[in-house]
Amino acid sequence: MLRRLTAIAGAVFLDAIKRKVVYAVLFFAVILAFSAPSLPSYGAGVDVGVYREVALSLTFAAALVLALALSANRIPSEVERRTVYNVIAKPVSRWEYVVGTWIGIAVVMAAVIAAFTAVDQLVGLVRYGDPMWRLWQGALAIWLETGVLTAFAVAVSALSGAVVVTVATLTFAFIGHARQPVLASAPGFPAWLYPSLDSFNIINPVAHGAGVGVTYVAVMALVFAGWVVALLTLGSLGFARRDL
Amino acid sequence: MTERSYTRYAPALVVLALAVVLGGQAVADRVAPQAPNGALTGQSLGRAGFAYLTGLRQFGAAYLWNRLEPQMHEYYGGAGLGKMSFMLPSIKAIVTLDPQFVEGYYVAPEILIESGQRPGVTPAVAAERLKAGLDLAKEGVVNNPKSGVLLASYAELLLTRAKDATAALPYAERGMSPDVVWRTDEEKWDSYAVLRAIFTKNGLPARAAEAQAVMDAISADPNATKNAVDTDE
Repeated sequence: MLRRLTAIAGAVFLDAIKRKVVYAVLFFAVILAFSAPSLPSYGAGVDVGVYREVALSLTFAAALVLALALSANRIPSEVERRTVYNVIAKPVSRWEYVVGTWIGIAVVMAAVIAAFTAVDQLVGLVRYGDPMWRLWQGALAIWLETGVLTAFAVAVSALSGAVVVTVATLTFAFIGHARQPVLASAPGFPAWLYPSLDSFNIINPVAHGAGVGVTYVAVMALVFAGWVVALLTLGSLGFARRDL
Repeated sequence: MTERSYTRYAPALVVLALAVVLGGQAVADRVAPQAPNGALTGQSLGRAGFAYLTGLRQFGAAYLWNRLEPQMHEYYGGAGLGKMSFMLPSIKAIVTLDPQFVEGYYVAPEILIESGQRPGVTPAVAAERLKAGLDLAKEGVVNNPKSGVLLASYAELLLTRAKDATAALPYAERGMSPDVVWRTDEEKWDSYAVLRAIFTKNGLPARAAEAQAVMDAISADPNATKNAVDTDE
């Protein structure tokens, strides 16, 4: 099973890194990172904190765009071009195909987010003389959240086309971060019952505070695992029942 | 795992995984570190986007203002500020696009408050507009803490419109600080006259004399800079 998952993930990874969109997003994100220290809103006396916040926001935005670009059309295009038959004709379960696809995209996202964080660090070091190692905590949280969003996109893409996947994933991301305003209109509703993505929001502790501890990182990983298992299971179920 | 057994256990797996999500986020809420400036992801993204779009925002604000200013000076030039309330949505858009657009914050509160003094406006509405005008003027000071003209303008509104000399005093004091920026000496002279009045009203003759001394120095300076003459008028 592991060999099959690795083979599918490897194929997705190799296919993804050949796509221009990866380098285009990375290129523009790097330009924006280099221009961040010259943004005019920096005159508030918290330049370093604001830079870290902007750098993490930028990483998240770039990662979201890339995650959508890589995952929205992966399965639909394979189905449309009928190349999916080459895979499922072999002794490969459909859930292995779905999970393998997600793993491949998640590995690409890890590489891109790591590259981008390294650039953020470089800019921080050159401009502020601070290597900003804490940014890696933020990078990990962003990768975990993009992993969940990718799992959602892959799950929906097992049933639907790219446009629906994109809209649904953006809606999921929006709802996932709308817990605070939604619960404000429903006082008394337990916050933990609202399935959200806020657990991955550590931009503020990383940018303006002392970061997060090991316990919090472990909790984030647990929430990530729960989301990914639930979403990929649902996606695999849908794909298994789909008449190809 | 076969396809069939997978399908059989999948619902239980989903329920278990979602339970992990809910339990995990309950723990996360408890152990989440408190940081200052506690913005959500969307707010952080918004702030970053707002900063990156600075050039476009400032261009948009300047474009709107350039369309508005001729109407203010030419068409409605002699009509009084109270009749210019039609400009408020545009001015609000300008200061939203560019919170450092001083002229917008300078003019809009006066228009709002003046419009409440027009015939037929009930005292309740006038009070609402006074409050909205003061809030907008304060927003201008918060967004432009070194702008002398906005500090003096807000202090003057508090003194003359809200009749609250005590509330005006901190802004008058701030206006006297050396790091406050004045675009011209004439603007500084006019504003210091306001500050002097606030100090006098608060029983601070020494501070009023200090303001007067600065005004005298400007009056005596042959090279004192003047406000730009408005060629539209």
